[in-house]
Amino acid sequence: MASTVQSLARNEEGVLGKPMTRMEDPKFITGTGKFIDDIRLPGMLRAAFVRATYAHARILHIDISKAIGCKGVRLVLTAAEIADDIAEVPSVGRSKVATATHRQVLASEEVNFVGEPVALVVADDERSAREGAELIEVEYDQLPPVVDPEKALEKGSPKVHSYLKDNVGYHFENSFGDVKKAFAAAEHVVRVDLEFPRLNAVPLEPRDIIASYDGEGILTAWVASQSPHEMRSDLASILGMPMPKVRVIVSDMGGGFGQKGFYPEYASVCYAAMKLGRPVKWVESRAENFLAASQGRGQTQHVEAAVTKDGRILGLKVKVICDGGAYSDWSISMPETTVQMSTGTYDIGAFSGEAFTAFTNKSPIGAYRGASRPEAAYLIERTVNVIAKELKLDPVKIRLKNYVPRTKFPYHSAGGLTYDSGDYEGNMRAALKLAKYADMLRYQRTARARGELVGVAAITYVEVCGFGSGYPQTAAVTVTDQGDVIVTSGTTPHGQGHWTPFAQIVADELGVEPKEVLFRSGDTNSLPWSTITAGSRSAVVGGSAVLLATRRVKEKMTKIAAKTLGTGTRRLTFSKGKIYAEGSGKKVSFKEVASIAYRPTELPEGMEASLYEYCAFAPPGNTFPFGTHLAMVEVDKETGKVKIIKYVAVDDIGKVLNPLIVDGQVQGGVLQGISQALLEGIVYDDNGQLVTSTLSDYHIPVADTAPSMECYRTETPSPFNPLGAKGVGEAGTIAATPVIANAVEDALSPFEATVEKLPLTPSYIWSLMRAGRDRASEPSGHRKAGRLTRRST
Amino acid sequence: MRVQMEINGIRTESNTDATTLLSDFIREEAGLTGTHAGCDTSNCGACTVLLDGRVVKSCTVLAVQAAGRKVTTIEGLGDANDLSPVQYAFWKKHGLQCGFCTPGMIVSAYALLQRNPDPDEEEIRNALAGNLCRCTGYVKIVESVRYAAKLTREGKTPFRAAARRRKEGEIHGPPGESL
Ligand code: FES
Ligand code: FES
Repeated sequence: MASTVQSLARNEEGVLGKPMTRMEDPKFITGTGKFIDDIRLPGMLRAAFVRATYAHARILHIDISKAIGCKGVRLVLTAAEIADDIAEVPSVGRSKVATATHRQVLASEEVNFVGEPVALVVADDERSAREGAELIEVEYDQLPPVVDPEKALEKGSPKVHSYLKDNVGYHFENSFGDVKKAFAAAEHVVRVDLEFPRLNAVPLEPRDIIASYDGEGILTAWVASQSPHEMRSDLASILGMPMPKVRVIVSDMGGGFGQKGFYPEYASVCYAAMKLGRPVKWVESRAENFLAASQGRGQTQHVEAAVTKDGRILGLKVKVICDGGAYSDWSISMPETTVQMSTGTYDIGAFSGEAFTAFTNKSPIGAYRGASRPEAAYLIERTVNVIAKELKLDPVKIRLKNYVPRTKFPYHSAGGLTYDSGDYEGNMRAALKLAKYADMLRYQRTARARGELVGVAAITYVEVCGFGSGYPQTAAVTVTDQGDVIVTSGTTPHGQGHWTPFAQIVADELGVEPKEVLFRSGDTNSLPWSTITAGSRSAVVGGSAVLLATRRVKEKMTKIAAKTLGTGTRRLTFSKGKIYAEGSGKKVSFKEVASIAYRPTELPEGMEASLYEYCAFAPPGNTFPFGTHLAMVEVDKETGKVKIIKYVAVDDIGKVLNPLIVDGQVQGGVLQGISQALLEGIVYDDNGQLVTSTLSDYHIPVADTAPSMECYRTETPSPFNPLGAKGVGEAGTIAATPVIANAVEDALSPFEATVEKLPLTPSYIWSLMRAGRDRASEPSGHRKAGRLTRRST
Repeated sequence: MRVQMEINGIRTESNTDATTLLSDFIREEAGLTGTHAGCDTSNCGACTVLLDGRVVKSCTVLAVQAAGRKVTTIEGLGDANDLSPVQYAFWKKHGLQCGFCTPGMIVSAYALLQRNPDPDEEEIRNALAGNLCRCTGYVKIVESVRYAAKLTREGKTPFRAAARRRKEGEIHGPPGESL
């Protein structure tokens, strides 16, 4: 096991861990935030894209002549115009398991999904740009579209890319223990097939960028990005520029949820700005976002579990197929994490897993809040539910029987990961009490007696967060000569509220007020490096970087204070704007020490002036937050509509930095998780045309149908970072989907229905009820065999 | 064509196209960027404003239709030195995360409290059904509106008192911070 890190002793009188209101809010509640579309530069032009109308077609001819003459149009770009100046979009590196694709920023010979950018029009204003785009005529020769990921993997399937040998974008296998033996020893084998549809993250602010190129050859891009430095390297590599000449600035951002990565559109907008020498803004429409922004999930899962008759899971076989879309980047490897996390909270002795990502003629797959872990939690928690149902065992008891025991941490899972810390049984038992589980069951019994379809479920999830041992997050802390404190954060917020908890961390260390701590982020010129804001890693990795940089500043200030006070460094404390020498009553103000730090002649021997420290924190391992969520639902017998009667979340995210923000993260995540169970699903037709292309077809939750919920926590600190935090950004999205699906299945138990697809729309539920009724009316001999195989032992 | 309207009490006049949306007029002509646009199908409500005191999605109204009328946007409800109870409540109860839906959400909540000073949870949720929020799960938005209602009913204006104290030099630091 990797070494642990020295943890932070909490100061009970400090602000860390307290529910402080957010420092970033005043601008948002007064409408003075600066989202990209709110920024106006002199001489700024607007851009619009022409997009593919077929899922798979050869481009025969592009006629731009009508657009060129159009009022206000300044520039039209197609692949032909830019081919000599611009490199391909970075794909995955050549590896055994991942297949690289060739993608141009504007499609050159072929289009591979509906919505793929084909041409760019730049004009004086947005309307002229859009009108110009409409006048561009593209002649296509249609090719057979590849739409179904399972069929895409079959021999003889049409190929997405003719230059590849097949449609396999990614392949991964792993195993643990003696799977054959486990399945031979099992009294039952339970098989489950599941589908998790593609989803759009729907950040309320769509994708946008302003690119500006100045006389010194510097390209500045204001862009809604979760990873400014990575955006900079992608832009520099495509545009063939040295990195120092590209500056990326992330302004306020209206949500990301994994969707706001790099897109080829950004490179073409930058190219246009460079070519015209004028700033160019592109703000996509919601329809474009549905068409061309990445979509998450999209998995088909096949599971076999080897179980004893009393419900002990001896072995698990898992096969995951991901609907990968047309081009590959790192996210085609996401199903690998699904496979690795698919044993969940359970101590399973034998495991084999296989994952495929198939190329299809759809928008490329990408991260969406939880990226691969919601799919894993869904897989295992649905499977355990089906096992309990088929073996007629209590769903809570079967979980308690199979949990990884508390004594086994750090735990090496059958999926191949090392879980840092956990107490699943303790968390489940706490949750049952907090949610008054017995009362829920009592309510259900009475409701059922009245003939109502009420279902109850409890699940425990575990997820993997942080992703930092090979991929640090950075921060710098400055104390100015006036004593102002500035945190320059590598992790960039888009709703999380980094400023406040980071100020809380710094305030307690330096003995200043949080409001005295200024927060900056998102400008590639202000830090040498940063990595992505994703994977619930901001507090865990980024917050730890802030803490460690602060400690370095503090160390330097301690030495200065010791010299000033004429004391040793050992017993100095920072509190309420002063530095005290314990015992002696001597003190000096924080501001005075800050000022001395900038006067070289007064500094201790050999010390350099200024107070600035940088840290790139790489934790020794990932964190594994977990928690139990419970739900009670009612299914309307007539309509198949689901109503959530009660929802309780009991999460364990390690040490909490700011409970107010944590509650918000859980609640927002839970509603997204509920929504992926009940509402959301991207639909393409057989030709690869997107059916769900507006918010009228793709529903996200609205206030009047969203449930209220209760949030509680248990606390098992992570030993892998000094804050003891585990990460919370994705917890709700991971937990809520299986608990809702299981509760609905429980509600439908009179129909002996098994949920196999998402979302659980009224019509799907209705079809499950009808199938149940039909089965019940058939003579028993004709009943379809269940999925359960009974073995003779 | 020449279009004139009163936005947040200020007469705003501009040459504009007959097809210009009110949302674009507010953002581009009046330069008030607190009114956001999150969709093109009138689903999201990020563009919500008051037109003669009534809630509208400004992307569903043409600028010419608002000619001669009174428009109130988020900027008109209060600034950081003088927050309205609803703005203050959203802040204190963590009714926002990314802040993109927030202006529209606050305008809808403000309008609700104008017609109903003591709404229950269901009334609040119904009144906000035209405003999408992808971040918060709505739980703390509902809490914020309840808190705003309570402050308004009790005539409490902590946000104003703090602003006064700041003006008189008792509080320093960025506006809004020590409320
Ligand atoms: S912009 Fe979405 S409703 Fe007006
Ligand atoms: S706070 Fe982000 S959409 Fe509401």
